[in-house]
Amino acid sequence: MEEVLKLFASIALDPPGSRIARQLAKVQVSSLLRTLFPGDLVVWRNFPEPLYPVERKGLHEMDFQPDRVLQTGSDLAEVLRRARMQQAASLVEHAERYEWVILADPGVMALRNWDHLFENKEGDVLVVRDEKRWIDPSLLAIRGRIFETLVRRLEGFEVSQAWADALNTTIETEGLQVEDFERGEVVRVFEEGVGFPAVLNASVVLFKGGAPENQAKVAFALHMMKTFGDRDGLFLDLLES
Amino acid sequence: MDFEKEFPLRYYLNLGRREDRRTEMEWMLEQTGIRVERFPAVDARFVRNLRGYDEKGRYALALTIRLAIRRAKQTGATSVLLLEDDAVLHPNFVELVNQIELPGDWGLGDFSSRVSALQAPGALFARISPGDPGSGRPCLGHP
Repeated sequence: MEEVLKLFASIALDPPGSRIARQLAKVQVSSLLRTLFPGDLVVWRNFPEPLYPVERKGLHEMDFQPDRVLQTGSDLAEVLRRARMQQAASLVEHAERYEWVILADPGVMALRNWDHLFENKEGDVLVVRDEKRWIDPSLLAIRGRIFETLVRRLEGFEVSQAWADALNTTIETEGLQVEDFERGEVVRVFEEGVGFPAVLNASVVLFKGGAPENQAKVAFALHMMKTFGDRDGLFLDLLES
Repeated sequence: MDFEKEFPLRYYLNLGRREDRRTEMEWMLEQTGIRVERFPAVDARFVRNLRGYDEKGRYALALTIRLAIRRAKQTGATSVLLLEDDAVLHPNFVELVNQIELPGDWGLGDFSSRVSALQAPGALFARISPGDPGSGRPCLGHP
């Protein structure tokens, strides 16, 4: 199989006193590195402590300071929207070197290798949709060669407009070939009706919709399960010894 | 026949969740020296109506094959080779296939029932044009 080079970008912003975004981002990056993600990873973070004190090849952690003190809720959403736009704009000059540019929330993790999801030859944009068929902005893959065009279009939107609305409007009306990720491979964990078997069979899981604390708990549980396995209970025995 | 010329488009059918089979298949294809694209299979989990089939899995496979042939047609290919992801190819698969003479009006074929030495259960091929896929004469083991 031909290796398709990808650029993965994520933003982890924690309000004061919280470490949830950091934990999600750490699980995210660990899961991608462990499943042999071919390409580069860029993580913007607003906390001083790096995800990895020891450098990981292909991972670029960038310090990002919002122009105000973060609070949860709508304030965080607006800051995140500005940050996403800034990040996307900063990636434009690099995008053409990659077959795909993937924009993601920290609440997205890999349970298996992703290569097969990007063998798509026709699509310009690969998306996840919610139950109402709206594009979920938590995970979006954009063909490198059209990335700049898409970002320039997004820059035309008012900052006050929600990121999801801007994305949906741009992607669905620009004559782009929009395709869904392979069915069953990307699962929204907290979506109504999603069972645990579906999560275990997925290669990508999204934690959007759950309370932040629950997102972190589920991410940690899945990561431990995938990373350490422990079919024979040995890990638990070690912890108790 | 000339394998490369007769089957310029080749898919192997694979469920996203069967990473194990994907890995095995990629490895075997590399060893055999032929390039085959992955075609995402329809998961039986999502089948609601059996449409006359006795199992969800059988219907899902039939649907996958139909979608693969349709995709092949969209790409303008004149024929397509379809491998299931648990197919086992003989190390000399291409050489053995090259020794087979296909009738001029072949439409659909199945390598597994023709030459046991081929060791290729789950290796089907279909002619795409002109007209509907597989409109020609079935061959290689079919009555």
